[in-house]
Amino acid sequence: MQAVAEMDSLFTMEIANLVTQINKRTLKTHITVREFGGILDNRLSAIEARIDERSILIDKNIEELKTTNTIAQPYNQVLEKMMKKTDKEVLDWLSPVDHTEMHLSKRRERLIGTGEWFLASEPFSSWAGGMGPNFLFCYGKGTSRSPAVAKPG
Amino acid sequence: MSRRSLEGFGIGYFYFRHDDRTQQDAHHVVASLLKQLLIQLGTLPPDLIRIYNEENKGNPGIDTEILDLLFSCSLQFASTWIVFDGLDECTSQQQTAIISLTTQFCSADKAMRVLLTSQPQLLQLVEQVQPAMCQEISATTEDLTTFVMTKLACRYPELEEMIVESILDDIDGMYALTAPLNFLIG
Repeated sequence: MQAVAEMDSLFTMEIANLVTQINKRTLKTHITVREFGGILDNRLSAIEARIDERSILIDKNIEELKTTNTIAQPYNQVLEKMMKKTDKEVLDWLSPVDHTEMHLSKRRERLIGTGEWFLASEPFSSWAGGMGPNFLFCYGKGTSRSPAVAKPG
Repeated sequence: MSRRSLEGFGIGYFYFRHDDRTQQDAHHVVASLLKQLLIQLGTLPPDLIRIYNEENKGNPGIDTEILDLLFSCSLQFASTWIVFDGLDECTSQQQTAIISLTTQFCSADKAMRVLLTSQPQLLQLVEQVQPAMCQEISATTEDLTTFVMTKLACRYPELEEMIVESILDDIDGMYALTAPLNFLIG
């Protein structure tokens, strides 16, 4: 009888040990999961912050592109890059005037969507179409003239 | 000179500035236009290379030679468009020279078209020497609305309509458009 009771108590102790060990392991797993979760959260917020930063930048760029039409590279600038180095030297000797910058600085002043009426006007279309005099004189006050002629193209 | 090939449009422009008049005399203007057309053609005429070698990289040669080169370049395009912006920004001497150039352009090559912009007071001077079509340039209500809407839309969405209306009421036609508005926009 005593032997049975002894065995029972040993068995109980053994089970208690096992439970403690399982508890310990569970706790450890919980901590690991929590730590891992924390790291993951940090990473995610860092990524979110960067995305936010980028979106603000992108929005800003889009806004800028809407108001200044600086996407298209000037026609001449592209062609100039294709020329031979010796030819470029001759052209730079011929004229020191930076015509590309001259055009770009005016074009930056122009707002997309403005001045369309000018291209549709009768005098401009006749002039462009080679009808009537080949000289078109445009006059106006203030700062409105230049952007009208500096349309990209 | 005959039109050798029809390569579409040639485009040359010159925007005059009142704050830097050193490089906008007839010589600089013609040389810049020639440079622009040559870039579009992609090849240099032997005469230009000869002048370059003769001048030993000093000052670009005699004006008439450069002007002749400009005309022969222009003839290689089906049509060449020349744009002069802001004649009133030049000295009166430069103005006379540019108008004279315009006359030469228009008679040297019938397919050459010249567009010139200026303050209205030079209208008479221009019409005396060269038959021209004239067009007044002023910002239309539509242009003003586009400008105001674009600049203000993000900043003051609720006030947008009110601001546009009151500005349009105040601006009659067009005068130094951006100055009062830039003050608003900051």
